[in-house]
Amino acid sequence: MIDIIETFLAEKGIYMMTFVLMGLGILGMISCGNYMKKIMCMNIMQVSIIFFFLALGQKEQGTLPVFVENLLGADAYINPLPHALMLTAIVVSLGTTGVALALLMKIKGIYGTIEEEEITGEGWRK
Amino acid sequence: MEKKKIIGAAVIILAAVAAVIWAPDILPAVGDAESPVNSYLSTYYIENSLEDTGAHNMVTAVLADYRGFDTLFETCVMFLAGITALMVLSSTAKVDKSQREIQEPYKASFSGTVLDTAFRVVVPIIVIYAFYVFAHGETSLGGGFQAGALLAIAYMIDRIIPNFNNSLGNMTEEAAAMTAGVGVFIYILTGLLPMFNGGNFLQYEKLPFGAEHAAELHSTGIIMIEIGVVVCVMATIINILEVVLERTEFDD
Amino acid sequence: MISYMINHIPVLIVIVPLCGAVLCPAISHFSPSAGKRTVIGALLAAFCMSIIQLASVIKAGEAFHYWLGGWQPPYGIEFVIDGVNGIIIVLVSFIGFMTALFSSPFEEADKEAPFRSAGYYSILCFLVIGLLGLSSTGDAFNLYVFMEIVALSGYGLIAIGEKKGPIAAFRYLLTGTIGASAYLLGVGLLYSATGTLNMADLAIRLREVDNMPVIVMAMACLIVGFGIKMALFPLHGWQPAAHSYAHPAADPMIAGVMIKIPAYAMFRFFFCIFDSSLPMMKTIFTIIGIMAVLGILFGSLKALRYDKFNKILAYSSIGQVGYIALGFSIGNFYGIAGAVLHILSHAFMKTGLFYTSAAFKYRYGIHYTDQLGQVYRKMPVTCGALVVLSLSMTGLPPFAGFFSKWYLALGAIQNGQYLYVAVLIISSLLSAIYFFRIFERLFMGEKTVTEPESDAHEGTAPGLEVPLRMLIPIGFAALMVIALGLGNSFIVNGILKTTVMGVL
Repeated sequence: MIDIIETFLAEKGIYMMTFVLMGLGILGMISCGNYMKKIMCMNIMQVSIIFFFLALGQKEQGTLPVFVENLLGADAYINPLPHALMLTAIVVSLGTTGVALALLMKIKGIYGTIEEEEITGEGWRK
Repeated sequence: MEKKKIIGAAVIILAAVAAVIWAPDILPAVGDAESPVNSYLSTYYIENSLEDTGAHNMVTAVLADYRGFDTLFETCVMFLAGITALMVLSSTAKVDKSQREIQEPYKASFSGTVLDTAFRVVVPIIVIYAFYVFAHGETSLGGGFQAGALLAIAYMIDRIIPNFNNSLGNMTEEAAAMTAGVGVFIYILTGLLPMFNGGNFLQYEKLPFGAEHAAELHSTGIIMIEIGVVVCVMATIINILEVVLERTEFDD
Repeated sequence: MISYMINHIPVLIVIVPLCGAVLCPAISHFSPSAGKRTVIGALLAAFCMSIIQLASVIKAGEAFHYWLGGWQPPYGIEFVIDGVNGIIIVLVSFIGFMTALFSSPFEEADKEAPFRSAGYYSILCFLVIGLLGLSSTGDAFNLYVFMEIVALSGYGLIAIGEKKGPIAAFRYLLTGTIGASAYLLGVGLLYSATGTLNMADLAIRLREVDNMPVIVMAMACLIVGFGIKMALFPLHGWQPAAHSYAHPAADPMIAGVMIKIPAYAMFRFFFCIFDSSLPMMKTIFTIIGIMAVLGILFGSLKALRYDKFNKILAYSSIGQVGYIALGFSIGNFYGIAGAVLHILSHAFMKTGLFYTSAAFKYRYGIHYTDQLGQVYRKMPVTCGALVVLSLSMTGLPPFAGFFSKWYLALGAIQNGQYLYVAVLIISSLLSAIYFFRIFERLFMGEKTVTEPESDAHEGTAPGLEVPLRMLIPIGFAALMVIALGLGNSFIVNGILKTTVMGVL
């Protein structure tokens, strides 16, 4: 059983898992009523994209992209580009989360709650 | 749930299922060294980055040199997040600190001698480690963002332990935002210097310093922008921390 | 020396405002109003440079490439300036400068809290920088970073607006993050098929890819991503609240320009990168066309329902963005020329209308159209601009709005898509209804507003309706709408023709 899962993940199943994770994240953002939970789901979605890029950059028998003495050649190292891109994406998602939390504190201060139904129930559309 | 939400959820589920079914057919196998992702740009970076930039860490070479412009704006995102958090919460009243000081007996659980001493030892080690990580960004694992975060952690420990008396000094939120701006400006300045010497923006080999090899200038350039990144990241984290701490009522 | 500087202009346009934005907080610590002046000056410099850049691009007759860091693409990032984005950069920097000027009465430097004005100007300047970078970059991942800069500054400017601002900003944050992630996923899929991120290189290498599903999936992701950012019809949910409750002075920038530049980025992806001769492109364009048509009708009908001035304008924007998408879905020269012209003309129209809305708020605190009665007696210039801009929105010649719709209709007729022509006419009639309702209240309604206390607005010179720093942007927006209407043939034949024909 474990073998089957391992081969599944090692070949292409990891992409499926990232898409499942992304779907779950967006689903949570739509269905959760609590704004804090929405932020958490947003982070889950962003992480799934990071997984996707990192899975693309994998290479069999490749090592960390840091030069080692006497080890040259493109086959010896994994692809450094997705790692660099995802460092940027992580910092961006950190910034977004920081702003989201600040907004949440502000909303809590104004309305006294962070439940969507209580805030946008009556009188919101006026 | 509302009708809209159900429709939205159904669309998301359908899209996710379609993606899951399609994904294996259209994407290269994990670990395939021949796929376009792992052969085209990747090969160039692995084979030439040491010669081009002098950085042993290829991720640093890509991040700070080949795609240094991305990283400039990544640093800007940090600065912007800090300043946005400050602006959003600036109209919210701060918690009166003088009231907090009165509840002295409550703080007993936090201010044991052991804890205080332990943190006195831990903070210097974190600071030294931050400098180690910063200096190693080019040759092995590490870099400006991590070093900035570590420095901010040292400040954070110092700040949130009561009765520690803020031995590192207490930054106001405005001062932190200004410092972050200066950090980004160091980065921009590093990019502008080569332009006075006939190079493009961020072209480190045209930096106006005397050096024998282009790789040395690249290392200098990378170190300079990493200093900017460290300052900006540290100050931004402190900025957000101060903004939140000043407006939170602790009822421990 | 000057010719040497011209080589660096593409990056200096982004970097000079960036210096202003990051130094603004530190400068205003020492002198409260100097930070504000730094930002306005930096934006003015960017505007001057963008004009020089456009002139040199037209003169050279070919795209201008700038290699950042001196790295040859695709290994490094490059800026690509051609006729189309040269003119869009002029638009963004001009409106950015005007909006910074316009905001200064709203954000007077306060000696007690110098940071509030400095922070506002810093965020506004970042919004302009992000939009400038978004239109100049030639790298798909760099575009994502600029998109996030735009989005983050947008969240800030919306949240510091009116009372419901934080909620509107939070909703925009959630939706906008989904959009940015969808865009990033689309870029990841293209990267998995080609191994490159540079747009020109992507275009070449995608021609050799025979794996069609990955391209379809990437296109779907890109449509969702750009659709959310530009508020295309079924993905517009965040837009009305965000545009109605944003900071009144920054609202012109947010409503007028922030949703147009992703539309331009979409143009770049769908015409410059993807091979438009592929058989399935027709289906994709039909889908975009359906979204556009539904958006045009939905936006115009929904705008009829509201009495709040900003809400009317926000819903009308959903329809107007639909026009731009319609031009892309038509896909021939006239369609694209009409879409780009509509990006320009609608940016000036909507920015100008939001300027007038903010001026009403500043002078009388007016939010609803039924409070507008007889205001024109006290604010003649503002109301004159309002009339010009509204007539242009309904598509009357000789204003700019007429000509962009004219080119769209020409393109649709050339392709035999008469349904699109009918939709254009219907929506123009609908917009005439809601703008003439505003006119009716303005010119024939009872006077309801009372004169505010005389010392409430110290910046207003005697004899002026609002401070001069607000009147200049309002006047320029109205003048530009007329100028664009009269000079449309120069823009279409002189600037757009070479670039767009090269793409098709």
